[in-house]
Amino acid sequence: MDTVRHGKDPLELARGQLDFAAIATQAPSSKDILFKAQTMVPMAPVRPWQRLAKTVGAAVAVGLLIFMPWLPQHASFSLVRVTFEQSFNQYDAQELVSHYTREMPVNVLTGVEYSNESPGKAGQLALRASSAYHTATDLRRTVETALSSAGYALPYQLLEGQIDRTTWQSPFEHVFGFIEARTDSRRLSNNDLAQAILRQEDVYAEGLRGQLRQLGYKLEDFGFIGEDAGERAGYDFLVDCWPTDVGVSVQHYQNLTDSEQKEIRERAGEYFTTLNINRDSTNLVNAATNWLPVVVYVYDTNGRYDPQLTARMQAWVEQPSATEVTSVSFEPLDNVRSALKHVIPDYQCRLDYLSTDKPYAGAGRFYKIKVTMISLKSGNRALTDLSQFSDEDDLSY
Amino acid sequence: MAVRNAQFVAHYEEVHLQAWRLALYLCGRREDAEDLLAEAVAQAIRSFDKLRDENRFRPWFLRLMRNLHIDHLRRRKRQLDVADFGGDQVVWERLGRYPTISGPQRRAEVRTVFRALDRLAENLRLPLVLSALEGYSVKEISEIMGIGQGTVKVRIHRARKKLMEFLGDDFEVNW
Repeated sequence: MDTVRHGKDPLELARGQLDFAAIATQAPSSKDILFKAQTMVPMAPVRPWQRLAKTVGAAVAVGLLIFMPWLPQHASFSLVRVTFEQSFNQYDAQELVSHYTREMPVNVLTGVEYSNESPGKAGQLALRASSAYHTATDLRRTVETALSSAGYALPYQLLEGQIDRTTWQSPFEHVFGFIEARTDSRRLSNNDLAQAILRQEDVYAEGLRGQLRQLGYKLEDFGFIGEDAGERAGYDFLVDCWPTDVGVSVQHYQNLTDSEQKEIRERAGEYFTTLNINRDSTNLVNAATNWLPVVVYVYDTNGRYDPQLTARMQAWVEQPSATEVTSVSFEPLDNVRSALKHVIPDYQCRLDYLSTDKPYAGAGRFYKIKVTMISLKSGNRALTDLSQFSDEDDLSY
Repeated sequence: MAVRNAQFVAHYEEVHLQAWRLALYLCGRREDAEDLLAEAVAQAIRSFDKLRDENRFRPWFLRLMRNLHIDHLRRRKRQLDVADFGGDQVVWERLGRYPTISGPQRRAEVRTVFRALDRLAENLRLPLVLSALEGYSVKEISEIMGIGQGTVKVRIHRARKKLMEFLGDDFEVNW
């Protein structure tokens, strides 16, 4: 045998020698391969509607996930009511209320009912507290502690209650509600407690529904409402509540007689009084008195009267003694400024005399002072807002 | 969808034999080649909707298969920690699966060429095999390998040069 060196391209040689026909014969059929592939992965649906069904199914699943209510929302509100066996004269009642209000945490809504036949006579006092942050037991404990700190040891009756509600929200509602709440928070009172109450709308609605059911009526719509006239007109009647009015619609309300409508309105008013958000005139702070030398009224940044902050401010305002109040050098604004440092330290406020009584007018006068919250202390907006007031009026704390 | 499936099958049947040869060349063993091909088909079915130009089915499918093969190699390399799993056995297998026309005498020559090809690095060997043995154009090879046409040309040139170096004196046939 001779060994021969090839001058030819080795690849060309290899290609020429390969028997492609034989390779093709030995190859598995394309059907075999397709079949084997199908055992690895199922083929896509063969009919157009099957594919459409898959897409529609996916869209429905996503829709359900987004729009179906499956997120639990827990809301609760606790109430405590204290009634005293003894009668109080106005001064003692005011003292106790001031102490009680000062001692209660800021996230508790405090309320007072005081009834006496005439300013000189003793009357019955009741205190209320409600909170979205405490359980009924905690709130009871808080009230007892506050009364104890106020030095009150005489017997009293204490009733407590709690309203709980679980609703189901879709993620869409959750996000939308959050955005809406944020919008509201700018539009409505910026008090934290006010916001907590506004968030408990469901709880209030549920409670009112039960109250109306007892009378044989059905609640149709319920909502905390703003200043918008259209929104207000959408309800059958409004209840003057804090931090904002409540709109109520009852089924077939317009077809009811006047007395039936009145009955419904009164029940709603009583219910909100029980819940401590009705702006009733029995509150000592709300009632204009001529025995407290310095009375304050707090208006929030939206220009709304804020009874809760007013109560706190009133509790913190140090009242002048008989000697002081008769002194010509007595400046009631100083007392209000001191209280502001405790109650609304972060806000720039404007102070105005509301009373027709002129300030510094001497003994026997009392002073009604309006406190208007302007804006948070930091930020340019505060400076802008301040610029519209005169130097005399602008007071910054 | 039935239309789409039929389109896929039609396209696949056109390239079936070429794909089989490439799979056989890549894997060496018939069983491995069948598995690779079937897996490539399975994956291609899943991705067929992404193929924009159906005229480019062949390079698209072969590229998919080649990438799958590379993935397999990497996995096996990790699992077995074997650096070289080609070797004579695969060459013989490969040769056995590539029947020659002229019978046993020329088999030795073809075997020598295949052995030399096996010594080439993968990135040089594949363009050379696809070009010289399978007759693919530079453009198609660039699409299959996902590299530029210029790179393909350079690699083919280098591969040829290397191949000739490897063959050198070995490329002798006993008649």
